[in-house]
Amino acid sequence: MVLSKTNSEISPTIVFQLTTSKKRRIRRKKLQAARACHNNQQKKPTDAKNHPRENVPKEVGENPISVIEQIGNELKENIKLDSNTNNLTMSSKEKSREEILAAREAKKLAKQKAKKGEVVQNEVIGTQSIKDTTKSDKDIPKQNSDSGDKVKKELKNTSKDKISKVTSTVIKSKDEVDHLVDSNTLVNIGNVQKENLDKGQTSSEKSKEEVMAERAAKKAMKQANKKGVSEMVEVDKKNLTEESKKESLLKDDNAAEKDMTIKDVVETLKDIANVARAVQDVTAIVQSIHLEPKKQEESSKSKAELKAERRAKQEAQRAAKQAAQEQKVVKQKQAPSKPEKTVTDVAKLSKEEKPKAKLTEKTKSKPQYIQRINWFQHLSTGHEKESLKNIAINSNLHPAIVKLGVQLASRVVAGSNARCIALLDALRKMVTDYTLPAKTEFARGLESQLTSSVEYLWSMRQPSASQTNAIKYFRHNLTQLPNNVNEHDAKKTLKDLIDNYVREQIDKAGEAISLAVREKICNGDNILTYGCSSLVERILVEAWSAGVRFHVVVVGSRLQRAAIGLLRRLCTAGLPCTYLDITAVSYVIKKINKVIVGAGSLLVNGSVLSAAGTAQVALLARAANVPVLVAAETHKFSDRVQTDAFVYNEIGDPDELIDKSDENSPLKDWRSNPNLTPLNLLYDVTPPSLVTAVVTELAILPCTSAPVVLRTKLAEHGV
Amino acid sequence: MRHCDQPVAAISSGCELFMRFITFAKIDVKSFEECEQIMLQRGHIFLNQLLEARGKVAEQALPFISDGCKILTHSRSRVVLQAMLEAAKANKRFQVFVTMSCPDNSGELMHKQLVSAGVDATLILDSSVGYIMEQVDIVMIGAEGVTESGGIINKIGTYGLGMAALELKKPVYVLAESFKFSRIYPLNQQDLPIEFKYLSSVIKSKKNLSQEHPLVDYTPPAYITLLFTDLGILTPSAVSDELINLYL
Repeated sequence: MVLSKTNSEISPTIVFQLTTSKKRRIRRKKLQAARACHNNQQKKPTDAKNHPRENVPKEVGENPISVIEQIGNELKENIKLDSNTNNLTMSSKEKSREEILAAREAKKLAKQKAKKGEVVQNEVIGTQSIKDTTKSDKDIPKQNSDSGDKVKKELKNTSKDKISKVTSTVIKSKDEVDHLVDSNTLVNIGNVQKENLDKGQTSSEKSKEEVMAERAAKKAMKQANKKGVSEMVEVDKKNLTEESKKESLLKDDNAAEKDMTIKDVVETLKDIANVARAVQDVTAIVQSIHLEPKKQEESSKSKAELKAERRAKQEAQRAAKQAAQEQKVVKQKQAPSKPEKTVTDVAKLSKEEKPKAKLTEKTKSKPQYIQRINWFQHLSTGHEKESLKNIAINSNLHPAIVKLGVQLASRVVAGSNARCIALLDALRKMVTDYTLPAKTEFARGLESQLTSSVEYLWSMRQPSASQTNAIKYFRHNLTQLPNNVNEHDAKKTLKDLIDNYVREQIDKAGEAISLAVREKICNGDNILTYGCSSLVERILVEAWSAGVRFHVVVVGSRLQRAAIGLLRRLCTAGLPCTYLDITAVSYVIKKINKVIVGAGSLLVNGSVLSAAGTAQVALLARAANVPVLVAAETHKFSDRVQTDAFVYNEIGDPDELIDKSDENSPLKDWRSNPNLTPLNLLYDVTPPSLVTAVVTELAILPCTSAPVVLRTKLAEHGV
Repeated sequence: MRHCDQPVAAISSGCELFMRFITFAKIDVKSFEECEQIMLQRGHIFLNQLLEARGKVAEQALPFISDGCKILTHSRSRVVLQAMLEAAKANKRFQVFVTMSCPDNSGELMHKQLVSAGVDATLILDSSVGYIMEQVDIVMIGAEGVTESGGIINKIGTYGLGMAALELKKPVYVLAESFKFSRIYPLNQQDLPIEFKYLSSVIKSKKNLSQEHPLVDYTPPAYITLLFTDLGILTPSAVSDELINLYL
């Protein structure tokens, strides 16, 4: 047959890497295939009857989609196997026709249920479904359709899910495939909607079924003849989807174009394999995420919560897309081992509770590169893109909180004061939109909402001291609310609280500090500042507009690009400025009169935690006897103690260390070099001996008086 | 008072504290006379506290003057004088080196008073501080003002003395009453307020101040070991703590 000939031509062109386990399996299957082939030849007439092809007409009416899956399996075997499988190849044509019918029906169903976007859940069942379909291949010829009710359901799910998974990362697939995939996904969506309630039950069954499906698939493969393409067996699931795509392609083109389509199909197979791999990885993650929302489906959801859900899902899908793009390049080699791993993970996750699932996610999600650096494994990275996607997005989060989380993680919102204000703003919105569920006290309910929001935000980016203190203050006042307070009044109180905090602790404090420092700036001074601090900018601009005439030296480094922004703003305000790289500071320090820097936070022992490089500048100033002023509002004072920058720090994006303008940068391929890991620490600690004075809104203090300030704050606010 | 021809640091801080103290009282809706009475009362209390402060400081410093020790002091300070006189009364044997402290040679007066009390005192030149430092055991000085940083404002020459003491590892003890605590925070010598450095008559005469000799200088907290005050014996970093308690 023409088809079989082309099939055999195709097989050698598909190349996959072989691991030892794969080789073993291949060998085993070859043996068994040889045996089966022998059997097949003997059983030729009987095979034709037993072949699922004949079962297909029965099932077209019952399970159009499951048929596709079965056909998919078959076709896969066809394409990869020898010309001995004439029966199978013959059946493919018939199947394609039936497929068309099935697809049409699927489309109809899908359109009906297209509004419910439960794609993710489809993915969840996806991995399982693949196995189910393979199992069903085995089952249906053996069993009667009676026993297969569950199986059929699963088949439905699996087929939908399989395809839906691929749909979510559909970019690479060709248009034809997309078309069919879309229709299938829609159908999947519809079916999944039906089975929302059954999920709990079916999940455990599916896990078992996955295993059985695997075994069935393996057996099916052994029975058919295969040579040389047995690697594909490992990538079972993806191949199944590929086959369904193939079939769709085949159905679209008739015999005349079959050669062409098969070649196209091969290419799309490769694409789909990669995409599906990526999707599976994301599926595993997303499944664990959605264990929680499933439980909460009973509770009523406000518009805001629904929006948050949709947003979260969108972002998960976006993340999945990105993952597919990245992983296609990176993980081609690891393809065979990965799918199996993710499948087993999914099985585990479905059994485990949510916190455990989160834990496994976190350990999995720890970026590989950070594991290379022994000393810094205790530090949070937060910047690795993959770990961002892995963070569970609770559908109960307010959209403002979700948005803030993304802004924090992508460093759109940066700087101590900015982050604090953004956090309080998001909190305010959350309070405004918060709807009290029945039988809960306002304070308790809001507190739990606050806890989950805060947990999410801190996982996106570690909190600064200003943010931690703001949350402490808010929480303290929240718990102080009387029990029987009216919801509206409580909200008003909290909102006023937040407004007051921002106004007093940040705005007024900044004004007071600006006035105090202005006393210290004399006419004709050369002031040096490092990095970008909103407070220092305010001080300098206001002093200038008050008539003090001085010169500013702005110091930045390759990593502190924000300093250039500060430079621009100061120049716009009319100040005479100079810009330096930090490497040149020792040259100009003798001409400098004062150094003014901002702080991330002030620690109890008097150390200053601020942007990396500040300690260096302070040391240089000390060596040249130049006084160093640190401008910090009291809300940045934290009750932690730190003597060095190792125990607590934040690791930024390592790629920032690479010089972008240098094309032949030796750091470019650091990921492939096991001995090279760029480390980008964001903070450093300036010891109190290097700081002359700390300017707060209370007073100009020596560094060592930080605990005094904390004590007075405690007396004042109770926090 | 700020315009009188005397060093002003202590005056300004004392006055400010006085104002705060008397107005700190709870003045509810009472008649004006009553308020006046209350303020006067508090004023008296403040004054008494001041007068007693010196005695308290001297008492605190007593254990630090050991038998047979050699003390270096700078210019004339009544607190230091009182401490030494009390030590002499307690039959301790010690030797004192007093710098002459130009331009007003107030060290000479200090020397005379010590000798008349029977203390073994030697008058030395300001420039021989480095020479004599290796022979002394402790340095004991007064202060005209104590800054928020924990440093002191004292007669010109104190800074050099502090630097020499740090280099030769001699402890520097400052004896100062609490009303001398001021809220200023100088970053360096240039940062001192002009009223402190020069007599008001000099400032008013609008001479070129860079040609004038300042009266006082600022000794940063790094050079000071301990401060003896009527609030207790403090380290320089604790001064800010006390200041906040006093002023807030």
